[in-house]
Amino acid sequence: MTAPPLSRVFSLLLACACATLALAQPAGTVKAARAPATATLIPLSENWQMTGDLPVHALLISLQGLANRTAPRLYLEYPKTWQWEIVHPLIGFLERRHGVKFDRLGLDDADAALTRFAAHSKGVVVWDKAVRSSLIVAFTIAGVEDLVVVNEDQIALAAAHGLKPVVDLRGRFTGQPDHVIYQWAYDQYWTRCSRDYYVVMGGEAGAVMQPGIADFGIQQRAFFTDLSANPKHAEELALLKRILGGQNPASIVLGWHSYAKDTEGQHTTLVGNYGLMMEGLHNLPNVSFTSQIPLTPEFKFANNHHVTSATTLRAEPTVYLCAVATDSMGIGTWTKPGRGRIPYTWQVLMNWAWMNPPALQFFYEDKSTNDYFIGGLSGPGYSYPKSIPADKFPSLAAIGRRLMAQLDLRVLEIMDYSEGNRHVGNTDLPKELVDRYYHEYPDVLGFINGYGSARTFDLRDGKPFLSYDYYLSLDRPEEEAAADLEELIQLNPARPYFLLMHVRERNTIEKVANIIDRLSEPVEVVPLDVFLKLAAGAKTYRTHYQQPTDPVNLNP
Amino acid sequence: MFRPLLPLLCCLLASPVFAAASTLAGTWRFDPRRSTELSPWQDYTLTLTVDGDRVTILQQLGAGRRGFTDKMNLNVAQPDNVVPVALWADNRHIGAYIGGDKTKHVRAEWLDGGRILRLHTDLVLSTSQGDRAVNILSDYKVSANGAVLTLTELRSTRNRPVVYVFHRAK
Repeated sequence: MTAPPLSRVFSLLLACACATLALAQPAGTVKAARAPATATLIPLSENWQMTGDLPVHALLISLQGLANRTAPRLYLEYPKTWQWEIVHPLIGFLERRHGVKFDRLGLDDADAALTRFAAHSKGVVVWDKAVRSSLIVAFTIAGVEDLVVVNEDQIALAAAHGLKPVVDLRGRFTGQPDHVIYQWAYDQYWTRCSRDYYVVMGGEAGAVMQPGIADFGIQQRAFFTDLSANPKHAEELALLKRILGGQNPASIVLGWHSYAKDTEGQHTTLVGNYGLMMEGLHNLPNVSFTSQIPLTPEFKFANNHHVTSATTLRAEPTVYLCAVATDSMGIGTWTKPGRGRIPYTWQVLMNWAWMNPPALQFFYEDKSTNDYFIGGLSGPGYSYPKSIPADKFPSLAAIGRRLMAQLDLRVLEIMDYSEGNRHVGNTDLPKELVDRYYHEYPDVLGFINGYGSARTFDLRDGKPFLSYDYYLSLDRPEEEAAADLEELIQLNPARPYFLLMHVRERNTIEKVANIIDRLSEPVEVVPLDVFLKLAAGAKTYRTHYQQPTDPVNLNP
Repeated sequence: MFRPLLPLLCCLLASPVFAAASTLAGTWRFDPRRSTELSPWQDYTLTLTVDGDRVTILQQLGAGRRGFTDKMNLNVAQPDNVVPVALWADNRHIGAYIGGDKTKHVRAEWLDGGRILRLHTDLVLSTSQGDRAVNILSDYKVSANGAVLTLTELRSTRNRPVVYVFHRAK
């Protein structure tokens, strides 16, 4: 027997290192042994204007990131109108299931908050009220230097609690474009920032900012910008590429693109190019707190399974319909009336298993017998698979497989808007990528694809790969949506017909059920695992992949 | 006394002479309040050009930063106009795409002295189960005062008519 060549040894070592990396959880999210017995709760007002209550919110959010760095101490009660609607239910959950007793302070009470938590800070960073981006730079500095974020109106308040200005950004960026501002921040602070987290502090632009994720970014010493992925902004894009390229493999991009600069498609495509995982909710609140809360000891993630991988189902000559809600649980309709009325599928953002365990435990425990969970989106985090280089795909898939097993998920949802969207271009996968999914996720019951309708279909080893045949727009009235479904039923005359329907965000389950009730032809609404098993046994859909001749519309 | 002139009058009403003067010609802006819901599109502009037997329908659909433009040249005198179709834009919520040879066959006719343009369209849509022939009857009608255009579409596969209302662009 001869010794293996050195190159093989290196390859083996490299493979082991990659596997270890893939299974690793991003740093800095160590769970406490148990939830704290007490914590402080501060309600926030509804005003997120730069010239309104945002300054006090920014102060409190930065203080929260610092105060929670070593233990969960401060929870902010965002207003009831907040997009992520689980803020309030989660308070009750933490009280009920973890025994946390919240000590409630007054609305936006920065004075009382500083009295309690100023000791976690070494001073303040002063942002420039005249330069919006200076606040985003201040978030970076807050994390790196352990400083609370204030504007000039709050300096006296901070000083009263012993916090003096350490960094003053007033006047530093006057008249400068964002790429110059963030280049300065990059030169000054980037090397001291986390390589596991980068924050895109985008979303709303101009007079409003909703930096709900900033506490977690500050806690993790992340670098913050709202740099554009739009090729029209060449200098910003160049710096953004430098930042993303410097992060750890398969690390996390928190937040959301700036509505004023680029598009979701441009941003998501670029993040995918670097093989990073996007957690795309810029206003996801309290993660510095919830990421440290363990699951309750007896809890295990348990889905509502209706079949096993060995189950065989025989489809009847009818129309089977399955409704799937994505868009991040908690910004949709979980708390709205109608849940439980019909079988319904919910896409779980899988990284919340370590980033936001109590939120996922809340959803799993609150589910009705008609709620079924699946993994997404395209893998861990939100990504477009066509944008991910082939050599970066396996390490992400390894994380995805582990999270799916942990969360008891057996179906993976895929979405790719790198070459089009619901309007133009295509949202399909070439055969090579479908091959890759079947190879990397061998234990799934099947895959579903799209956001709007798409046309990638396959069936291998009893595991269907189906695309959405219908997208329920928020604007679509019930009578038109019913006509749409009836048209699909006409257009697909073979029975069984498998009609997979994506339900956009705030469409309620009541609306979906009403639409189904309007149909002149009976349909059978089934959970997704049953739907896939039925589709595995009766392939009335054609195998189809993205074709070289398909239209391509890169994100404008 | 006028009875012998009636057939002549009918011929004149259907003739290109009237078509050329059709009040349909012009640019028309979408009225969402009076129309079938348009999503995923947000804007819709129609521009009709009439030159004798030749009619051009320019359809411009928009949504945010994305848009779709389709220009259809028709000859009313021809029994069959074969028109290439790059994208079936009529309902992007449903999984139906232009299929077959990616063309549509269109027969056009003037009615009511050029006030109404009627199109009979045959095309093939590709769905998850395969190709399906579809017929669409489209009426472009102008109001009596010439200010409003109503496009009514009856698709053989859809139980409800699609009605889009436009105002003449100023």
